[in-house]
Amino acid sequence: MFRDKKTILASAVFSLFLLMWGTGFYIGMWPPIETEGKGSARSVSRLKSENQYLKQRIKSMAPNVFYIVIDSGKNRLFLKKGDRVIHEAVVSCGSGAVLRDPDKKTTWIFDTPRGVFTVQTKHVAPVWTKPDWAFIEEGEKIPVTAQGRMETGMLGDYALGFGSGYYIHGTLYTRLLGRNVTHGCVRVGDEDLKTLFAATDIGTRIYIF
Amino acid sequence: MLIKILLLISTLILFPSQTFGENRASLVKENQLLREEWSLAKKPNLYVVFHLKEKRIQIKAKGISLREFPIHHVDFWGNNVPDQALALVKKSALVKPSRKTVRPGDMKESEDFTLDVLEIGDMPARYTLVLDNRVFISIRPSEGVTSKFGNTLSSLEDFLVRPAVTFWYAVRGKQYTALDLGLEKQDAKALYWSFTEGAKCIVYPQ
Repeated sequence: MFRDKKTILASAVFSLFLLMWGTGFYIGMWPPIETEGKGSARSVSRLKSENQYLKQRIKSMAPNVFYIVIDSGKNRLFLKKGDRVIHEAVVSCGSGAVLRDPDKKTTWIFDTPRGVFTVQTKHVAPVWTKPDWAFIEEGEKIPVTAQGRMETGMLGDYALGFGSGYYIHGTLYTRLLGRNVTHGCVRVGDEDLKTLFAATDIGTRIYIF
Repeated sequence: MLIKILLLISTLILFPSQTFGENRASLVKENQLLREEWSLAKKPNLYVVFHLKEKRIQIKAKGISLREFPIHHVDFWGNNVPDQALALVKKSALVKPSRKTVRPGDMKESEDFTLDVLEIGDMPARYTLVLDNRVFISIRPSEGVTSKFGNTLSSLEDFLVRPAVTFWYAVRGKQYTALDLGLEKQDAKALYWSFTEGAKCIVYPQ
């Protein structure tokens, strides 16, 4: 008797589950209320050619000149032209670390920015103007004069500025290339930097993801 | 004769031909999504494209494919994905990667420092992308023993939770779409890394 009750209960639960699963799946298959806009009056052949045209337009956005692609997760930089990779380099991108200034209540997040940028400035033998975070991080007092912020040799032989204080530059810490260790800039080895500097102009696109 | 009829019926059920109406509707949908992608490609931001039919994911910017990942399997629940660009509201994971905090003065004695940074290896491989319009994309690694165990648990969830949720939203007349995508572990981590909150995506249907 008890076993029968248990069987009936199990069957009822199972049936209820199947009913709910079936109904949920069936209702889920209903198409959403279509509000056909621009496409409603167009013929199938016109739609096909329009779609082909849109695909082609999106594809044709790739520059035919040199451009830079940076994979900030893999720490790789690619110098490309069209679909071809011209040069590949191991780099260092942002560490993702957070620094808080206890006095001014300012917070810095050391990420390499993602998106599309352009080379805005090109520098030979760049001098680093150390920002506030560089002093705070080292527990030093922030200098009052601009001269106190200047540091030579830190950025390598060349630097490519891509806005908001971010640069593609050289490094003294070549053993850390391939790791996420920077404050947001992209560090490149000497030889790779030389190639990049020669291939790019002001306006060269940089894609970072 | 009877066998022939049965074979014909089963063929029609299993492999239904695409009707003119369905073909047109899918072209209209594709057209709408391509227009959405075209407007995304004009902006300088990254966006993600899920091609469910071709089983691949692309990270794109300005129309250029920056990275591509193959999808190993696709499961689908609920309504069709809306014909519009969807923004990533949040990434939900059991263990979220946390940023390291640098204390002022920490870098002073940097000669023998240990690297304490946030890298792609710290990203989860199993997570859910919560998009607007109640679209949920669950990413699962498709290889490894632990992945198989995790996927078995997820499958149980699919058959217990998903029907109830689908039913609940359907009764309330609200949009609900859930997609389960199987990716390679490293690709899943890379997608988590690159697809940031606020970024948009396009989902081309199966």
